[in-house]
Amino acid sequence: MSSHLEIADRHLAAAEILHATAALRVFFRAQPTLASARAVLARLEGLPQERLRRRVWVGRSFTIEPVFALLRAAALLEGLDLELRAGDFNTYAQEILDPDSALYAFDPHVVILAIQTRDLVPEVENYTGAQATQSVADAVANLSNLLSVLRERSAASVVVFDFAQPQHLADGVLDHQAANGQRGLVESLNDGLRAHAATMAGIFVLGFDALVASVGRANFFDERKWLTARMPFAAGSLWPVAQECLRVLLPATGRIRKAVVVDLDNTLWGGVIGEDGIEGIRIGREYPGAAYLAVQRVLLDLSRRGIILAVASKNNPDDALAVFDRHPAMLVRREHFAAMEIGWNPKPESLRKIAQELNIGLDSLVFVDDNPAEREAVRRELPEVLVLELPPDPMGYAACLREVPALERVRVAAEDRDRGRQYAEQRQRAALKTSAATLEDYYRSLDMTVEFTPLTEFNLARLSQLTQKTNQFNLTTRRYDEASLAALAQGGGVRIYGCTVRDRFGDNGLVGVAIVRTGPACWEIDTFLLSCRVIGRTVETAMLSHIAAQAREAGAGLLQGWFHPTPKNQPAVDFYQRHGFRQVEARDGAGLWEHDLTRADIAWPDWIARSVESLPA
Amino acid sequence: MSDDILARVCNLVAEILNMPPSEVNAGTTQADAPAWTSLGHLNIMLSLEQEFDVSLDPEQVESMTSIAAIVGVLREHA
Repeated sequence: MSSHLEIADRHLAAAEILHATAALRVFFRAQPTLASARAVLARLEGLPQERLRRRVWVGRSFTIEPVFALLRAAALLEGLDLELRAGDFNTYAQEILDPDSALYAFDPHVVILAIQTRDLVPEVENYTGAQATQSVADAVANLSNLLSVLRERSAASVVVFDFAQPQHLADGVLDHQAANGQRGLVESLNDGLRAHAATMAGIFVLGFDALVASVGRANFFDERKWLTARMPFAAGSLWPVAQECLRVLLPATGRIRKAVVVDLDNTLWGGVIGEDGIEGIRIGREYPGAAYLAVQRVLLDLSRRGIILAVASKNNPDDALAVFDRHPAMLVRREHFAAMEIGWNPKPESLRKIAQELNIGLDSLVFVDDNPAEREAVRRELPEVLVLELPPDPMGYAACLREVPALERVRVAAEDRDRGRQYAEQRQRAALKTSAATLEDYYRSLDMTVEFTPLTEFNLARLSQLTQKTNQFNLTTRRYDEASLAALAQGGGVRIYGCTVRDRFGDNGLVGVAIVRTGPACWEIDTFLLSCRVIGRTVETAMLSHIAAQAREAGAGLLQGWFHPTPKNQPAVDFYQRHGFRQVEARDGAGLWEHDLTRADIAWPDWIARSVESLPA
Repeated sequence: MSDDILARVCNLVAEILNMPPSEVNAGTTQADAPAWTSLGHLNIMLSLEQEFDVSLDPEQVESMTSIAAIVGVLREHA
């Protein structure tokens, strides 16, 4: 059997980039070393592939560069192309405070701040008693000021390493008896950082101390490297640091996966239901059933984070469903799953069907299966899917599923917590659609109410998330992180609309966003998107009609908007044309469309009720 | 065995410094390779620790500025 690196090279020779990427993922995860990272970069850099390019500035108090190759390689394997630029050594404060610094000239999408405890507050490391309390308070104030200045001057997302506990305690076990001993001081430093970060949009704390603890404090650092090269990490810690960065960077840049598809036999429970029967399968609090219970626990945690769950299993549906309905130890039940493909289809076919039913791309799926042959089949047929390489021992499955960076979230909106219920309601809507006689009957039967709200601090996270995640009905696919969206709203000359849709099956939540630049004579639509949950129900017409009416009210005679085609936004391709716009300009495949507001309205779909709570100012 | 170490070291250094494998051989030194900067040296040392499962002390790190010197130190560990 040939190695995954050789498999990747064969695919590259045939210009099959997605297949090569899938093979390289297995190769890299099996041994995430500097040499492996270089091997991945040598093969993937510069290839013509759809990727999200992001500039990342790293302000730091130590040599962090050896992490870069690992971070770049791992990000590239998830379609995120990072340009990493390190600030000068220990000059992060000057870079933030000087408006003409290289940081601002670089115009980063993301700023990472990696500062060691001993560089920020030397008094904690060289502890001589509780007088360090004041130094910690000063350090929190200084750091808070830096973050505020950075937030004011840059729209970048900011990722701040929290501060590691000292490796050795000056007072030994006495330290654990005191509230403001060394450990207590670092805790209050981190509490101060978290409290200040929470007051501003787009600032995310990276749990560096927790990472150090999980790797093992004694093994994480290599003091000799710190003393000779100002690089504090041991060789074995480079990948954990890179991976932790990725776990924040993927969700912060919106490069995430939305759904987990699990196999059943020997993945969700031990044994084979068709052979062992419901009494014979292993699931519960004891070994070995506890391994599978732990997997179910992770799935519930992911579901609360807004990740969609689905099943792909080769089984008799009745046998498998009986376990969900009747086995007393099961933590996950049918209602937690948005789609279930149980039958005798090949797994790739089941995954295709699931993606179709959920209306998401194959590149949004993570596939979990104990059977290496099934994993290989999915990788070969559907290289876009992230296939987890589970360890041989089922006791390791849960941990493997927990550490997938593409399933991390840095913010969870209320809609995410409800996602499971919303998909169940979606299944009922689909059933109704097949019974309604005409499309208009169907629209009417839905009893839709649409509400428009301006950008507020409460919906900022969700609106930003929609711009970053929506691919299909998205006219310009411009991505706005929270900070840049907030900055845009503050700049003036712009209206931001959030669109909420309710129907007789429930509340779909915030599902539409429009951003409009409001000139005196002409309003230009910068962003117009709709979550796939409500595509095809004329909500988009209602949104456009609302914007046109407001533009006219404000005295504008023209409504304009670009359509930028992408590989995924086919559903929106004829949107402007369908609503009576005419194309007035074309550039690089994109088209500028225009509507004369003095001549015609855009009709409101009369089967949708309108509830306008407050108008955007 | 030692030839095996030599070949692995040459491949590793070429990979880490992003050089064609043909340009790295037993005679290559830090002075010959523009990519072998101080940061490049740090990366080489870290990847040697990762690939050969060794822990290098500062004196060794300072001395390992050629392929021959690297192979020499690794042989001591073997």
